[in-house]
Amino acid sequence: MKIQIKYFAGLREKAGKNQEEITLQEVCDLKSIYLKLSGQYHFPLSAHEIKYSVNNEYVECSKIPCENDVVVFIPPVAGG
Amino acid sequence: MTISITQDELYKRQIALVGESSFLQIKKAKVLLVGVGGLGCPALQYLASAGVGEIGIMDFDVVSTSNLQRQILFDISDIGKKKVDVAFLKLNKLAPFCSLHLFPFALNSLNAQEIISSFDIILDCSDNYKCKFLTHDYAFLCSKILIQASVYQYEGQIQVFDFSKQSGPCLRCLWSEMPKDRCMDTCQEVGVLGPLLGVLGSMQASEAIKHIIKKEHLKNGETLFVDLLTNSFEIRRFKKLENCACRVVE
Repeated sequence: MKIQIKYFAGLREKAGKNQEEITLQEVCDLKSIYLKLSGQYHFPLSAHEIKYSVNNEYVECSKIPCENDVVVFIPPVAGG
Repeated sequence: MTISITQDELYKRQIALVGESSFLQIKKAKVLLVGVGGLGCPALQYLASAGVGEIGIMDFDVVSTSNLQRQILFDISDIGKKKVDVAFLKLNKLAPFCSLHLFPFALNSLNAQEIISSFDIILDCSDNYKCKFLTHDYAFLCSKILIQASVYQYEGQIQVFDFSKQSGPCLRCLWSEMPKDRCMDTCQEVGVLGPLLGVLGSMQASEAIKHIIKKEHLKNGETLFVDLLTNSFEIRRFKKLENCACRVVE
């Protein structure tokens, strides 16, 4: 199953890209996907320190995405 | 040479846009800006020049050299001066009919209620979680309209919370706990695109004006994401948290 991943703010910086398509070999929730990508990109935030969005709705990290969903990992931002 | 101007002449384009009765509402409005930094500078200029009747300006800091890249109210001659004092002088020249109230100190739990309750709309232009959550919580307690923005490098977010109507989620429905201060790098460490602050600060002013004249605006539970690297504007929605404190007040 393929899904789109978008990265914001410091997570984009760490991933070195705005977005990418990933293929999931098995059913998994957003938290598992984040942890897997965090291992690859060394994200500075744990899974409970960010917010998750699927198709422009904020959702819980336990949400299981569907084919072609757009998943966004959203870190807190405070600059001003 | 003294040039005398009239309000009708100064606000001719504004009145042409919104009409006499809406402009009267703008003149009656009281808006507080918390933070005169990258967001606060453009927001202040647009609110004052739109004809907002009373503006509160809150910031404890002085102008520093590194501010000038993005804090467009200030110039080299202002370095070392209190931001609220410089803002007062410059806005007086831009909008002489606007009544300015200066608060040259930080918002804290002792002064927040008294100050926030004196205004209709609060613009959170601060740069740290502690101030953002404090401003939010007192805007909620005082049933005010809060317009909040934050930036990181090329990206920003803006949210509007209308607590004068007890509907829709609050910030704590999204972030029930305040993020740790050092959980992400700050603008000081990673930099920020100056024009991004111009866009977000101007949007805060725009949302405030639209609220005053009762035009379509961002709603509670919506976050507008602005990304100047990819030139994208996207709204993401969130719902009330089941056990959030904002439900207890209803």
